[in-house]
Amino acid sequence: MTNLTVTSAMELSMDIRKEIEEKFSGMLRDTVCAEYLIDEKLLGGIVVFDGTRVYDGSVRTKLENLREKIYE
Amino acid sequence: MSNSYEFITDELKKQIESHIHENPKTEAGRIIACGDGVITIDGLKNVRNGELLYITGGNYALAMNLEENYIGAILLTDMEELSEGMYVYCTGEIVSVPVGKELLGRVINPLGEVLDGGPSLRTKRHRNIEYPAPAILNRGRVNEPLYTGIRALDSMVPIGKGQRELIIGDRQTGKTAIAIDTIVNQKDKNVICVYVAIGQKASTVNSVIHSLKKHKALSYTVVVCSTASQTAPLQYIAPYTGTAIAEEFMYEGKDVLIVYDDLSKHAVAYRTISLLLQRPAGREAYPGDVFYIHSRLLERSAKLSESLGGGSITALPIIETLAGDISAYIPTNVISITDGQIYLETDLFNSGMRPAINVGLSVSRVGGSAQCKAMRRVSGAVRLELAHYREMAQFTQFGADLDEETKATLAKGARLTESLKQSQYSPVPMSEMVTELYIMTHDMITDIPVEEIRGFMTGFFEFLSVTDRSILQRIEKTKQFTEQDEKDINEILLAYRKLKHYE
Repeated sequence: MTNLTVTSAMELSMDIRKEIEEKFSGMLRDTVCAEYLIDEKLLGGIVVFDGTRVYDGSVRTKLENLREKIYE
Repeated sequence: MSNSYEFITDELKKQIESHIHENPKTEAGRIIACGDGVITIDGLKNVRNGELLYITGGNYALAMNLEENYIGAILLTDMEELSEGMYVYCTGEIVSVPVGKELLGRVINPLGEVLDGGPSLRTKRHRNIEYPAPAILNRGRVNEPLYTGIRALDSMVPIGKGQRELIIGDRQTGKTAIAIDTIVNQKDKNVICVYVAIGQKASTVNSVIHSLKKHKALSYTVVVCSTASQTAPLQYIAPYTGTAIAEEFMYEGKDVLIVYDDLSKHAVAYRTISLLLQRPAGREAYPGDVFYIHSRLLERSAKLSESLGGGSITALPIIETLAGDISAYIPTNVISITDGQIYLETDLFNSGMRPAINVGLSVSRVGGSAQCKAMRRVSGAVRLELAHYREMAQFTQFGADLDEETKATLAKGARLTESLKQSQYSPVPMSEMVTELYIMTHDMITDIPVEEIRGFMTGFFEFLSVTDRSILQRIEKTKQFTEQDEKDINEILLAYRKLKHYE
């Protein structure tokens, strides 16, 4: 079983939670157990950590990436 | 018009889309504890020892402890923004710094960031700060002298290119002064210098940089600076950074001189890290591998074989002792690693003997074969005579009646000691050194009072430079001291005596 840590900017609805768990369970080919955290600094989107990799879909990281690209 | 406007926005949107979605390529972990410049990370199962880690928000750390359930890492940047739960990513690299000739004349920190307020570095190459030392077969013989410009050293404790010579002594005995003098003496000698300040006071480093600038030595010197206010990890990597910079020049076939000022503070920084990482403490609370951090550092200083370009790194590590105790842990370690040491003493320093080199305890294990013929010819007697003198001086302290022979030995020793005194920032060229030692060891100015010797010699060399420069130039060029040279010097000395009415 894989432990997931899901961080989001606001409380996630049960439907979305289910969807996330199903997606990751399919992708990792393993049963998952998710823990949900809230971090307003993310601004939006979610960040999922499966113990070895970070799947970062937060608005904050996207903005940071964009800023770096512009600097380049 | 509106068409092209839309086109541009669409293109931008596409580009932005393609850039902001990045799939996770590298492994990640989370910070479970942080404090005192050390972080503990959960995850990162495949991290390698010594790997550079990236922490969200632009911070970096160095993986040091790979335990079964967690990773211990040391922070290379500020830890103010760090908090528990932050993600840490593997980078697959070890710490590297910019290298190359663009660094000459610059002051950088151990991460390669500019500190002197000048333009940012535009180097083409980077180099890992940890790198294996040259293998046995890739090494050449140390057979070329590296002149320090200090009479007492070049005659009795000669240093060769590719040698590691330790400078050891209490605080305030002129350790840094010897290193700086050596750097100043490398002007126009095609030697690149690297000065690594480890855990020094910022004011001290500042004055070193200023004196290098003042003596026009900064243009061929790189200063790597980690001051006492910086974190222990930065102080710990500083000498490796300096060596990486020096190595780049060495593998290009150039000669490099590197000064580590000082390695006792480096050991202390490493002890701090080790204790924070909860590694077992050994003697004097240093961890078990404190010998290895210095041996692997100093092994990288070497003379390369001709097939590899024949470059060299000459290292002058500095160690500060407490109350002259050279049998403490770190001093004995570094003494056993290096190819000899220059031992400085407080008593000598206070009695006006500067540089305060204890000639009896200072040795150079390879330098003798690197001395040029001219120097070897005149310096052989000096060491013996001084040893003889010291023995006699101790014996006769009780004020007994002395026979003529002892008196003569004492007088000669005092004279010789006096002639080896030298003020800071006044390096002496090899030819002048040879000439002076010749005059001193052949009892040619026994009539000059001891306290007037330095003045006499200075005057003599001024006289020599206006009358006949060719002798010094000849010695400098052929690196030999012939009988003809001896004859010429005898004549000039006679002329100078007449001029000054010393007859």
